Amino acid sequence: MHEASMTIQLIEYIVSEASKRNAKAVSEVYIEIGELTHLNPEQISFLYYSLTRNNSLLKNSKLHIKTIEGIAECTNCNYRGKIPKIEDLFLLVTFKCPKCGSKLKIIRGNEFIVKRIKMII
Amino acid sequence: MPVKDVVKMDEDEILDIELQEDFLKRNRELANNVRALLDKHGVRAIDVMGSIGSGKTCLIERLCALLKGKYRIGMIGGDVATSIDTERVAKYGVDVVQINTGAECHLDANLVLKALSKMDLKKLDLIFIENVGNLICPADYPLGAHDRIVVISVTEGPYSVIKHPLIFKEASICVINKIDLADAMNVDPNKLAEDAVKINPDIKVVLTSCKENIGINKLALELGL
Repeated sequence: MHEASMTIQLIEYIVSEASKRNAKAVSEVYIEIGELTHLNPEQISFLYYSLTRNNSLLKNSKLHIKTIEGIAECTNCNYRGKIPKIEDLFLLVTFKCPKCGSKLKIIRGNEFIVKRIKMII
Repeated sequence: MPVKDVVKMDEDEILDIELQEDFLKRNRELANNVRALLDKHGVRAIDVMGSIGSGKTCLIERLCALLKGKYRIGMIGGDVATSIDTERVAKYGVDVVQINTGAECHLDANLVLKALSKMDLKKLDLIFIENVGNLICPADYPLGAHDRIVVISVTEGPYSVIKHPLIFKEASICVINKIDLADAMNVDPNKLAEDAVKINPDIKVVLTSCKENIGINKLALELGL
């Protein structure tokens, strides 16, 4: 839903990191998107290439996206693992512990991270 | 013997940098700042999330009418455009600040910090933050409020809970509004309540009709107000 503003933030961040190092161009960018965010990798990718098409630093860069699986921990017992699904359907998840029924807390899968930037200097 | 090959460095050297910049974490950090600012002034904030037209504003109006003798209340209203909702709440003698997000589909902690800077926190006990009508994006953006409520209504049909699990995970209270229309809509509010608990076993569900002023006392009680 908010892919546009997140992609703009991402691009501004990459440009500032590249400018700080006097890079001639950015060649590759590696990002990670948690599956429990409402960020669609397909849309991020589309926006990235659309918005960098005319950018002198980023126009030939390649964006690599890795999806991070959601992991939760029980607030009561020692369960730690995948987010259980109510039914075997996409995103139909529950935050109820499969072992004891208490509430689960997300410990991974809600991030949008820039991991690595390769640039030509 | 002359050297046959000389390995030369490329003219353009590649610089490969490792980072760990999390853009969503930035919001979570700002949310911690919001919470610290509120706690410093002893102000409690309640983030009212929910779908478009589910009755968030009406709910806040009812709570203001019920609680205004007991607490000094403020309200921050978030909408893409207009100040219609905050003007409605202002009629209850509440200190209001409007946030127009322009294009954004949710409030974020940065916008809330800006709104709080326009309020005299020393003169407030309780702030309602009405989020942009949306069951999706606000889940990704905690605001630093002490409670998050999610409001839905029976007029949105029978599946609005299970289609949006993350926001029900985020909220501590789920309000199911417009129960006076449940029969006409052929939607069972108790089934929506069951779905919410299925997703989040800790969530408390309150059935309301804000229009008829039903369930508002129960909600105030659940909020400990």
